[in-house]
Amino acid sequence: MRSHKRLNWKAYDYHVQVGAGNSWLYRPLMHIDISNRGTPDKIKILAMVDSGTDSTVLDADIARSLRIDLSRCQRVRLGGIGSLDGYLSNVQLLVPDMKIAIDMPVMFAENLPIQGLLGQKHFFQRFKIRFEKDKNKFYLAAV
Amino acid sequence: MKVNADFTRIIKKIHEEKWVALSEDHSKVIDFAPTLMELRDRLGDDKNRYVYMKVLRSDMEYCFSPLTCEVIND
Repeated sequence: MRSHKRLNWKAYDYHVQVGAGNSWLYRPLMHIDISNRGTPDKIKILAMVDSGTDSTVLDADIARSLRIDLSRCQRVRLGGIGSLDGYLSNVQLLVPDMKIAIDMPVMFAENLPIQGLLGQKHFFQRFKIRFEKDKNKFYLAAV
Repeated sequence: MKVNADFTRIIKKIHEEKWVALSEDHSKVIDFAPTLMELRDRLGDDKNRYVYMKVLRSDMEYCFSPLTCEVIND
């Protein structure tokens, strides 16, 4: 018999913004805090939950604001449609609504058009995630 | 805290491709700048109170995926 752990789902609204042709675009954005161990600063951002991204990717401006020395980080190239230069570094990602902190490697990409993408490795491994696009809601539960 | 998820009234054309600082409930744009460092410098001691985002252009459709990573060995 399968055992079912009761999950405590946290609901989030998709954020809506004006898009192409004055349409309304709904995106699954959620508040996370990013910090660099050893420095007092933490940066609160709205990151997009993105099941199509392999790892978690943040704009390199966030690393600079956290005083992460990118010249000492492993260089990477992010590919997909086009490519971006980036750097690999470890940070702490906190989901304040759930009081869950994850120490994880992230890619800091130069010229990323969005502030952050929460991808499959580490983030999706830590949460069950349910999208209900018809209601413009998504849900997270810790696993 | 209930947060505002409707950015259609608070995010304007002038904010596009800039970093904005939002109030904790996401209901107001506090300030904006081309870089996050410049924005946080301007906000001074209050910089850790606000929530930051980079505003996407409203005249483009975006595709972020699939975004994969390759290590560069110099």
